[in-house]
Amino acid sequence: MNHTFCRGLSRRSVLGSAAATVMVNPIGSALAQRKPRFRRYNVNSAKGQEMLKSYAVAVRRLMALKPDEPNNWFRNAFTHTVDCPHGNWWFFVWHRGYLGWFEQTLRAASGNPDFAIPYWDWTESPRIPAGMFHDVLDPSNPPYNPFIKDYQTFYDYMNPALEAWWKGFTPAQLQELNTRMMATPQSLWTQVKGDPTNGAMFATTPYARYIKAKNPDLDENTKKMVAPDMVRSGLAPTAFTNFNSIQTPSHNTQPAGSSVFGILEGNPHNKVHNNIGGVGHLTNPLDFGYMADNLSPVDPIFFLHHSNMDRLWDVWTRKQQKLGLPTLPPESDLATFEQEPFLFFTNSEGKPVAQQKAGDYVNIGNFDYDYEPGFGEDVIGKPALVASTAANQRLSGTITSGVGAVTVPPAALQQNATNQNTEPLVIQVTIPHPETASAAREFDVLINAPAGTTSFTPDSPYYAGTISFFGFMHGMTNDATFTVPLPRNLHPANGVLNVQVIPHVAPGRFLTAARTPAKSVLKAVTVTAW
Amino acid sequence: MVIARTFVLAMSALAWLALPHAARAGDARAIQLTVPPAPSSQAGMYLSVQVGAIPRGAEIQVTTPSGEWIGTVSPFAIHAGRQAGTYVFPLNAGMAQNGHVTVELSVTYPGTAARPPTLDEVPKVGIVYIPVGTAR
Repeated sequence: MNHTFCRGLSRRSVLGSAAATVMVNPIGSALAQRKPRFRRYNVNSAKGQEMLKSYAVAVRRLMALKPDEPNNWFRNAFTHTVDCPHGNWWFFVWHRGYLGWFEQTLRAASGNPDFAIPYWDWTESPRIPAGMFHDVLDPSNPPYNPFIKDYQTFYDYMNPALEAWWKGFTPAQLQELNTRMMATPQSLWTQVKGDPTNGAMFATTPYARYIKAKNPDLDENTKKMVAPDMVRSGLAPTAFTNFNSIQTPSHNTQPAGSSVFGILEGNPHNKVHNNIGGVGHLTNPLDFGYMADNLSPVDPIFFLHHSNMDRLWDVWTRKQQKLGLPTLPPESDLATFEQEPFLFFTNSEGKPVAQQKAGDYVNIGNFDYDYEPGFGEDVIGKPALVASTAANQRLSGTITSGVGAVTVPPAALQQNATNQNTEPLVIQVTIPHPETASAAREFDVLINAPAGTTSFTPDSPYYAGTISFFGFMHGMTNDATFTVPLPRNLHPANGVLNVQVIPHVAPGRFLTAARTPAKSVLKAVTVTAW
Repeated sequence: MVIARTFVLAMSALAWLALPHAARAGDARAIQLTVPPAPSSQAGMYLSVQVGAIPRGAEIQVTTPSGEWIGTVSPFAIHAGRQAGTYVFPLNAGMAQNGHVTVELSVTYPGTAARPPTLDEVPKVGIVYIPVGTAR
């Protein structure tokens, strides 16, 4: 594959903005003629869930490869172990290359020619996505036992492959490994096995992942680290050297002093890794799961997490372009940044790739994907909105037995459905505060759900959103009003919206067919243009 | 050549406050920082926390004296004896009172009570300004 990239320009901006003012590369002009071939979807969307099924097929097939094949699931994880940069300014660009090449491997293994790694937007949904606890998508499930049921099993399975891998390394690769104190497979194993004071990279199957299906939420501290304010603050820096972590002599060496982390790497990236890997909720302080260390790609959630990190880099890049600001290091340091060797990537055929410099990955380039929009797009700005036909109107509804009915002019609903540049319609629902600490604190908002609905998902056409109370305070009895966007696809001909707000049965779960319809707790409802 | 990051340059106008000047507050260490003048209206105010070697699995919690959460230092894949690095958290303007920001730091580790960090564990805390901008 011949990679030709447009320096400093994201795929989306090539396609859709005034980026021509900074782009004179004829390849960019060619790219502007067409959409990217692939799209990385939000894993919680219908398309994202489809991708997850293909992902599971691919993971299973890659686990079945012999361990000396470079695209074997575990062998690929070791590529991360031996070469990943953290705490320096090659963090984002290295992981773009790592995911981009492995995405092609997953695509081939999945049999889905449209496959692209979905992203987990933890800001929008701070819980392990539905489906990621199923079968091979959770490393604490039985399919992993033949490989990681204990350390000796893993060592016996992988070591011959690693010995053969090392014998094939070039002097330049061995120099990189020397820098990481991994000159031999045994020195790598020393780090994988760990020690009694430091813990290990390796984890046995039961401890492979710490967040379980029965409570898929990130812990409260991690939720704060992925919250909108933190992520926006990470997207705010206007200099590449502040958006990223510190410059170091190479991507495998530590800085002379203290590493200085970029906000997105140091905060949401680290904390999500550690929370899933057990930090903060271990029974034995040293029984870490895979996500807590550099063998983290053993856990399939790794790729969804890093797909989101890559998406945020793309958002930041497009923001910079919109502001007319640089997307790469200053000219004086650009060559140093771009010439950094990345020597361990392999393609879908298991062959070393020709693109072995950081500069090959500063753009999405021939990986040829873009992202379904997710959290953070608002820092880029939007085209000026035109007034909705519902502007300046506040349409109040009536409540009967907890269910609201509000009538909206059909023209306004139609405009909301068809014109993304109108002010969006929002629905405001008022519900009582939880009466006790154990009462439900999360509620799902359903609009025009069929009578007797007991089963729905976030993709259901009548699901508008989930609202949550944070914490419980004794004595707080006032009603609370929440605002959620009216789904754009909702436009009943008569303009009547029937609104229910029902308790969420469990974090990240939705009602099952066996349950009785839950009772709506709505006390007031209005629709207005936002 | 390792460049000086923009915010480090901005920081030169202000003082890192070393921990010996800090007061203790129960299981946390309280530090009062003087807010330096912002270099421009396009600069965001951030808290910078330098962390030395801490046990794997340990985290540093950073809050205001009233308990408002500022950030959690959660080192990833940093092994025994290594410096954990410097972490940067956004500060709300409302956290500054009379020209000062006070923060509290505590070390949390599974199975043990929260405690103040030692001087080796958190040698420096400071306020830094980072040039920021969005297109909204």
